[in-house]
Parts: sequence; structure tokens; C-alpha cells
Amino acid sequence: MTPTETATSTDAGAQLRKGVVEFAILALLETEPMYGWQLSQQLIDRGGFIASIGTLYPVLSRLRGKGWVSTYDEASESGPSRRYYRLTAEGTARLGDFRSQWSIFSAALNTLVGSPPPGATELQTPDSTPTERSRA
Amino acid sequence: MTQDTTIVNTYLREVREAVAELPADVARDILDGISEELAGLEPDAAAERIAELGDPVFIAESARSEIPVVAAKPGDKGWYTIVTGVLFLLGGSLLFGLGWIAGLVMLWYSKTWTLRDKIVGTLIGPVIGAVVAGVVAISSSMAVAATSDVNPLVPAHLDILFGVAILAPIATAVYLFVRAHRERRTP
Repeated sequence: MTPTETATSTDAGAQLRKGVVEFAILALLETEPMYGWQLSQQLIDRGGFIASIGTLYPVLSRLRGKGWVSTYDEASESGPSRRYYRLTAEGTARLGDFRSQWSIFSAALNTLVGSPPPGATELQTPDSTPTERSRA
Repeated sequence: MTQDTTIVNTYLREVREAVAELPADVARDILDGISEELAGLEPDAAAERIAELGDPVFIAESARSEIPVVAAKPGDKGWYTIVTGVLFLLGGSLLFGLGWIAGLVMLWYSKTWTLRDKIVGTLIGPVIGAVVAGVVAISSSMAVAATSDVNPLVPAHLDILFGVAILAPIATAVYLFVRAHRERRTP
């Protein structure tokens, strides 16, 4: 794989993750309220949705600003207080909207880009010009 | 508490420095989140958690990548704003008022001030002048009707008009400078 190919695939992955990270967070918070580090670990371990904990807080700030998540403080077992994030009713509704769209969208996209069409590799061969192909 | 806070404090200081350029609320959230994660950990556990958290510079860069870049607002160069304000300030005495007109033209061609600022900046001087002239005219006619005595403690009409001629340009220039400063600071 050339450096250009690597960069392109990395950009595509990063853009995809960036597009869905808000809903990945909402989905995690749907299971239970979580604190920052807990969310960060889940998002990194379950698909690299964020690059580091630094990516998480601007997104959480945005979600809080939209009213999709709220926070509360609770003492942890080891003593210090932690800030927990939980889903609001508005966030639950938004996640539901996303879910209903996602299955349709992902199925439609899969029909387009799921696998290359037969012969696509041959068409992309640099040596194969349109003239040569018509002669063949 | 048995925690050796040196490594934690050093790391938190590095994080604080790295996130200093981020929006204040995001920087505070990151610092609070990391602080609460490190609080109460034994030294070994703290060192391990710090390794997992990663380089503070990388954390700050990750955060920056998630913050939308706001396009710079169109505005004038600094000198344009200053010259416009100064023309309003001194314009009345420059070239028999032509300086004020030049300031007016520059104000209306400016990209820094809003439409409201332009209207207010245009009208401050004339409105103050018209109001004071009206008051002076009324008081003058009343004084003539009442008595011909002159009270030295009451400012003469010319003194009042002279004061307005000084204060109105100052009020306009101050208003425009303040508004320009706020517009530049607003994202």
C-alpha cells in the first residue's frame, strides 16, 4: 500500500467515525450513565471512535449544549467525585431517529460500495486505455 | 492518602498548558475529567493511567480537531477603523467639516460596523446638535421674554454650542471604537 493509499483510507475512516461519534456516545449512554474515562475507553476499545480522551470532551460539550445529555456528580468507590453523563429524553429521541435512518442508509450504501463490481479491477488497469479495450 | 502526587501534578500541569488555547469550557472539562480519573490512585496505578491517557499535546490536538473552525468575519484593517474614528473625532474642524463627511463615507464603506452601528454613528452628532440647538433656541426666546438681565453663572448660548461641537464627535468616535472592538471579538 502506498503512502497516498494509506492516507486516503485513514481519512475515510476518520471522517466516518467523526460523523457517527455523537450517536456512538448516545448509544453507550443508553445502557447506563458513564463518566469521562469510562466513555473514552469504550469508544476507543469498541472501534476507535475517538483518538483520545481529548476528542471526547468537545463532543460531550456539544451534546450537552444540544440538550441530548446531562451531567451529575457522584462520589466514586475510591473517594473522589466523578462527573457522570446520562442520556436525556431528547437524546433518546435523537438516537431513535438515527437508528431508524441508519439501517436504511447502511443497506443502501452497502449496495453501492460493499464490494467492487465484476471487472472493476480490469477497468482500473493503467495500461488498458479505452482504445485498447474497444479493440479487444 | 498515600498517593505520591508529584507525577500526577506534573502531568496535570502539562495538560493545563497544552489545553490553554482551547475554548475555556472544553479545557476545563478535559482537565476536570483527567483530574478526577487520577485522584486517589496509588503511584503505580497513576503512572499506568497517565500512560493510557497519553501525551497532553496529543490530547489537546485531538480536542482541537473536534472544535469547528469558525470562519473569520470580514472586517477592515486596523488602520481603516482608526482613521474612520479619528475623522469623526476631528472631522468637524478639518477643512470646514469635510473631514466629518470623509469619516461618514469611510463608515458606510466599512465591513467592520453593522448597519445599526452605521446609522447610530451617522446620527449621533446631528441628533445631539439638533436637540441642543432646539433647547437653546427655546430658552433664548424665554429669556428674552422674561428679562434682559444676564446671569454670569448661566453659560452663554455659544458656549453650549461650542461644548456640543466638542462632545458630539467624541461620543461618535467612542461609540464606533467600542462597537468595532466588540465586533472583532465576537466569533
